[in-house]
Amino acid sequence: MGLLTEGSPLSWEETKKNAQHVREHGITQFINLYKKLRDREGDILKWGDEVEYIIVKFLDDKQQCKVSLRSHELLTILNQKELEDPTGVNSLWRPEYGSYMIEGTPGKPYGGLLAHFNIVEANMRNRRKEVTELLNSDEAILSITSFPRLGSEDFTYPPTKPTPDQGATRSLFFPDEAIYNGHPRFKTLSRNIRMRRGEKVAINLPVFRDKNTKIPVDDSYKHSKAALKDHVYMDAMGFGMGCCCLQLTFQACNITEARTLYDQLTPLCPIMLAFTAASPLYRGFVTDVDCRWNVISHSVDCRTEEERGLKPLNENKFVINKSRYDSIDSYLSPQGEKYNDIPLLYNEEDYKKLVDNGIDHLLAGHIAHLFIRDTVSLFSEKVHQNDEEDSDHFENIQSTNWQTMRFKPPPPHSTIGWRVEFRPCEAQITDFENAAIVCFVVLLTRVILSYQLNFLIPISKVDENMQKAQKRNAAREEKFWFRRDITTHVSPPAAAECCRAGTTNWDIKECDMFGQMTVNEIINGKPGEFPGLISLINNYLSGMDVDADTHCTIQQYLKFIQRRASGEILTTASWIRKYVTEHPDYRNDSVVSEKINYDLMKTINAIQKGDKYCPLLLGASTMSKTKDSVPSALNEC
Amino acid sequence: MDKFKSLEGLDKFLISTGNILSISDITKKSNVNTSEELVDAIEFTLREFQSNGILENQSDNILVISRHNDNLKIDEHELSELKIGFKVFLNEDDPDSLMEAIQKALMVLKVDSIHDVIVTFKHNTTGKQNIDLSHVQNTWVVLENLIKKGQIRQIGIADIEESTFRALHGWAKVKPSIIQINLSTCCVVPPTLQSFCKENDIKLLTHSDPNDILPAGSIESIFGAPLNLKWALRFLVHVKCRGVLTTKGYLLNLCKNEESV
Repeated sequence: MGLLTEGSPLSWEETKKNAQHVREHGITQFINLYKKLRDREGDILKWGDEVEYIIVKFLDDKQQCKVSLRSHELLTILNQKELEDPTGVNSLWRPEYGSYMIEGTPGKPYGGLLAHFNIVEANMRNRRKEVTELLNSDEAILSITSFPRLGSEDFTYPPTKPTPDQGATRSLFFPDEAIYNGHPRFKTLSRNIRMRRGEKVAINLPVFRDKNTKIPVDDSYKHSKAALKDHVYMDAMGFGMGCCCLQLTFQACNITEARTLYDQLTPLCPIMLAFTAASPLYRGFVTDVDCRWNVISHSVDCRTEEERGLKPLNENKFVINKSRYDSIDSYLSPQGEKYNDIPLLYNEEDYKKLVDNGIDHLLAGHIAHLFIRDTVSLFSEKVHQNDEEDSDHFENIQSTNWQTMRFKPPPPHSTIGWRVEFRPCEAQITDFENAAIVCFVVLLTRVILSYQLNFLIPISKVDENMQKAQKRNAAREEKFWFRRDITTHVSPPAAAECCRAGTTNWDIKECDMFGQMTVNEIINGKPGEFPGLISLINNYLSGMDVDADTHCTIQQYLKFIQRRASGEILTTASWIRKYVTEHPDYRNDSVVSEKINYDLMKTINAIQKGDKYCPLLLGASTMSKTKDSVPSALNEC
Repeated sequence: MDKFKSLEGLDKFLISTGNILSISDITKKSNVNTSEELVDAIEFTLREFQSNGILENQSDNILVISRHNDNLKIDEHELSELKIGFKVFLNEDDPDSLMEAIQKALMVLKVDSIHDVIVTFKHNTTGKQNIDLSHVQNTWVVLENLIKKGQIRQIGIADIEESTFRALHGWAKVKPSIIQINLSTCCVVPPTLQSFCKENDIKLLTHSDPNDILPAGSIESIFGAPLNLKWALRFLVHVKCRGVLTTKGYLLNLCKNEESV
């Protein structure tokens, strides 16, 4: 997200009244953008990562660790540096939902050379350093997906109390002070989502059942009818949006390539979610899930009871199957069309308007589908806009459709091209891991384009995979739907085989195109059946000019990914589980005590800083040759 | 094997694999090294050639075995957007072979000029004899001339000792812009080489090609006869600044042993 413009949020009633206004103008704004920019060509590869962090405070005398509510203060300083030297800064800093969170991106995007892969980790390190310099000696900046005791008693510093009867969230657990207070957007979103829904959001995660686990988990069910007794219950947007993730955005050379990459990366979303799983602990409990995804999905679920299918439709138009934070519902490329096997909801008039303006049915369906959502945050200064010049209403809906992938048109009046954002990954503990994952995904996009690979499977199967991906230990144990033959060129032997089988209709062959594979098989390959993503990347790299340092760094990253996929080293989630359940204070009751939390956060901080060697999580070597800049001999982009 | 039948009677021919990125069977194989990939590419080319190929007889009477309907993809882009590079695998410091390899490849790709050429020489397998400056000078002059003619922009060399590289850099009229080293398994680059490259703005690149790119045993098992590989050339085409590889292929000159003697 870019720098937020200041402004005065409208009340929910006013916002609600303007829903149709935002919808109409947002769609018009997209149409205008599209007309101006659909033929934009020749953009080079530029890309960037976004890492979100949690600021924690260690109370060493009490052996406790809290989230430190200082992000506004820190951002004021960090953003001042950016204002003074907008093009010279190493990193850009943005607020995130929690007042203990901060989001960092590289100061400028990386470019299309392989040598750029070698500066990612150094940039991440410098980013962390920049914030660390502003912290007190008892504070730390951690790239953890979820703070284990978020929403437990006294989890903030300074201490705060939840206010179930008033304020934006009205949570039993999550105080409004833990919502970023430097800009009204976040509280407004929380309030409006709650009001639109007609009640507080409800998140129930199955508790991990250990031998002393108490059921009911706690008293939540006495206070809220939404709470399930054998689940960890959470009731605020902050439980989801207060999690951190690792995202990346890359620029495509034109709209067609952007649509291709959007589609091709979609089946990889659940795989990468399972692979990066890093969040088994919520509200002080060990749960039976490894990922944040459904937590966030439920935490911003603004659908009314009617829209959730719990009541007959009366005031609302649709029953909607998913929250506005969820996996995508349709592919955008002609190649993907036949795999769009779930119904795509939209208002006919919106769709028609898009099609009447020359937008093809796939893109029109996608945009119209985004606009089934009402605005949940509107600022008085932004209500009336010039649809030829502005795109705020489009962005309003686009940026509150938090999906696995995001298809991003160029902003008006900019040099930026069509972009695709990859959003499923969880944040890892170290810069090495985050850099490895980011480079792996960007390398995959290059492999997909170079070999014209096809990863598409029916989108309903991607949804199925998304749910599997979040299960405990999914990275090792689950099998995911995946395409068996990812090549698109039919070679004569394959054609001959097909003839022998008596298949004349090529589409019939599609039915056995997909199989069930483990993350290990997808990444490391399955002999005789599937080459594996690493092998494809190595094959690609052998045809590229790679300088020695970058080669070394990339190989370190790929080896790490291979090891984690094979189970030789643990996912972050598995490692955290192991840490907690083997902690001397753990009572086999699924409870993450203050002491366990403190030790875990201390350990994570030590690993992150390189003070603690942790081969179980990282493997034997994490020594890349990352450096601050691309050597001049290589700098040709 | 009858796959070689139609080639009987040929003393000398070229194999042009075309764009192997479009050969699914090669893409799908995991963890193959350059030689295995090359063997696959040759076999695939021969197979396709036998089912529907025509022997192209070029002006100099060298026959080219190539794949019908191959798409090199070069015409899908503006030439200015592409970066074309060759790596030429030579047996020895043989300027004629180098010249022939480059000219043939330019013809196959239908371009007049390219970005870079890297040469590499087959090491003597018997002794551990190092390649010194005198073993590369004749070919280097060919490269320098091509630079002068504007056909190549950068030249480089692979798999030579640091001392030879420094000597070449000192001697050459057109300095090498690239040194390519084999780092398939480790990360260790001599620091002195590293700093030399940095000072002289030389690209220190890596590769994973075996020194003998197509061993005699492989040749014999493909063709059912011992042939001599005079030279091999790999062409790579990238879209500049986008990290996209569009074309990868090999061109090889094979001849009957007696002719080469």
